[in-house]
Amino acid sequence: MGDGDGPLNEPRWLSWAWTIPAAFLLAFLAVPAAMVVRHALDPAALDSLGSLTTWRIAGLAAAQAAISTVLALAVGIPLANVVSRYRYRGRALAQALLTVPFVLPTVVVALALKQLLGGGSGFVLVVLAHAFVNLAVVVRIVGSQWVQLDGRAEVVARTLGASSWTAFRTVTVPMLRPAIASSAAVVFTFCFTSLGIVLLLGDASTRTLEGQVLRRTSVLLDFPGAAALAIVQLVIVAVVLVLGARAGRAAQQPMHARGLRPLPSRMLARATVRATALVAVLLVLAPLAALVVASVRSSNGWTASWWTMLGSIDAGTTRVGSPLEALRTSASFALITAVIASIIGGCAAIAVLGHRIGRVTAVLAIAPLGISAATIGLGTLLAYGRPPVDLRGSGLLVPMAHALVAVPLVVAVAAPALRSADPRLTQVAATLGARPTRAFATAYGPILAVVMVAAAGLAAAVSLGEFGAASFLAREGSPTVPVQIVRLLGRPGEQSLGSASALAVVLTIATLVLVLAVDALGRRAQGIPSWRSAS
Amino acid sequence: MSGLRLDGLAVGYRQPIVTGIDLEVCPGEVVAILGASGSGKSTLLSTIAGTLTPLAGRVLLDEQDVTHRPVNRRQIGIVFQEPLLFGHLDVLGNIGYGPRRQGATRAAAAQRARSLLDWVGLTELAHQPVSQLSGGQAQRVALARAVAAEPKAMLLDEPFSALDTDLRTRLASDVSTRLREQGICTIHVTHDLQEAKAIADRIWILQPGVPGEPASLVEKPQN
Repeated sequence: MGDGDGPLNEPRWLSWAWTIPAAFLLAFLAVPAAMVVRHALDPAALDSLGSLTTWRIAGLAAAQAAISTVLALAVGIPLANVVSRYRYRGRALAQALLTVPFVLPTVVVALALKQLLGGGSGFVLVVLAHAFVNLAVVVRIVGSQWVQLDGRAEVVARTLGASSWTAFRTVTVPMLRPAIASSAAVVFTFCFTSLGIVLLLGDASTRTLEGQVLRRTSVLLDFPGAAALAIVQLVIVAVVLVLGARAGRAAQQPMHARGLRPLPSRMLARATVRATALVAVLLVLAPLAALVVASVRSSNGWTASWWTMLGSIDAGTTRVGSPLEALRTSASFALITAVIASIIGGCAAIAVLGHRIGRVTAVLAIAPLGISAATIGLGTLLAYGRPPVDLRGSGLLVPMAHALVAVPLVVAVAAPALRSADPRLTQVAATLGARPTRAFATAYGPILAVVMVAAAGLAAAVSLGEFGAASFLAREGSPTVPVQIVRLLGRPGEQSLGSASALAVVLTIATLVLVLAVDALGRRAQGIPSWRSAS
Repeated sequence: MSGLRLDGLAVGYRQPIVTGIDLEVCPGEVVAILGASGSGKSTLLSTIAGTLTPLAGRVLLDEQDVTHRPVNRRQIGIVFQEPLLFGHLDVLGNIGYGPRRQGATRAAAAQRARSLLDWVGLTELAHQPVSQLSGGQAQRVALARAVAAEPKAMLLDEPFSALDTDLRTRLASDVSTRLREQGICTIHVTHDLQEAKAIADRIWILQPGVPGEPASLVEKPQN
């Protein structure tokens, strides 16, 4: 509870709320992590560590990630300026649309770009796709910092003789350095550990350690080698994130959030802002439009065949399975993930209000964010996908891994919302005769109800689009939709491509509906009275 | 006439906020513009500085029309209510910023910055991070930084209003004396009549118009 609350106001169970997420993390994070480490220590793992190919792939992946990051920053920073700082009609739409590539499943984005650019594969396409997906990261992180900065610092620099470009370079960029550094570190990490995009758009020049972990696991059955590579990747990612955090440490800067500013008064500058916003919108819509067109187009013209095939037994794709069945599988996994992640994440967020151990547990619950999907998939497979504990038949492995990926997001959504509720309401309710649990529900219940539904939607969206862990854990006969899309694309023929496009359109719609619902609920949660809005 | 001249200036965002501004400020003269919050004082200064295009009229500096000259080539400095020091530079770096932009070498900029640091009485703070300065010290550094760029005119946008009363009175009088010494034409906007009286040679008032109409700028009689 808040400062000064006595234990008498606290429901007794609150001090034990941390045990549920702690047990989950122990079972599905600590045990799989221990299994990965154990396999990595196997002498056979030395082969993969000592192999020149491994380090060449690590170098290639690092180069690819660095170039993708530079491109994402080069495009994302001007876009952040336009969609985060100025007030104009359509700004909110442009900002929301720029988030779309990031919330969509990576395999969908990869397929959409492939359709837009007329097929092909290679280094350039992978870099473009990575930059495209991660634009939202740069725009969100840099934009939220930029809107807080006092724009008059740049005006001062200009009155001191700096041209617009020099003022931007010598004043604004240093002020944005923390945001640029942390977004660069995050984007680099995503690109370095990319799997779906690399599988769909890459070639020999774009291999990643993540892909090698999958290959060693599912093709070579070399678990020690896969585990060693997963550890190497984890260490590199940790180093990059630490370096990003250190580079982002900055001196105090003039902050004077004045909200959105009017468009520049000069015609050219005004037109530039509008044109950039329009380019941002087109940039997002063009690949999606290409995807929709590909789902209703064949070499003979317009067709509905790819859509009608979704329900057929195998859509002409022997041993790949029915697309409709994949949709059912994904929907049920998303539902289970939503339930598990919202319970675990919700308990972790509630635990933050209680004992210190609760706060530690909540921090630990965010840890999976820094762990790649393949590492989570491999760890889960090693711990629970083989005798003596083989849960593959239960259909629970994929949702468990997805829940692990989703729990950090649930905590990130729920914990701040709960903290914004007024803890004094529990005291007021208690003085009116409410028992501790009733008093707790009075203070936190309304916001908890909204936030938990939003968190469940977010977890379901994550599960629907997740590819990395599912590619390790999904059973041959019941793939998830992203896995099914990749399998279809691995087969020749326009039928497979058409069915994959139709499936991707369905996945896009489902994901966007969930994300929009979460967004609407988030706004509703903000409308619930809290001490922050009251003060 | 040398100095700053506003000739029939109208300022605002699409709609005029203040119109018909005719004002002359001689070198070394301090003119205070008095107005309530939201009366258009800052909009007027933004227009003179060049960050906002006037709706009508001209801005002249030493009889040269600078109305459409870019901000960085106007030689008009500005100091805001907040010092807006650049957090990634130390005190010397902040003051030397202007000379560097005008092509001075690093050493020459540092030398100029040191002399101005002496001028504002903060010699010992040369290498201090700006986050460690007090409010008064930071505002002096902001002034030294603006003067280091050798402006012909200086705009002070309520630069002392965040300081306590004692410090505000002392600093305001000190600053206006220093700007006079440098021969800079200064426009100081404030909502505080006492402060205006203490530092200005002349006082102008932003007179609100009838509701819905723009304000006008009128000179306050000496009595």
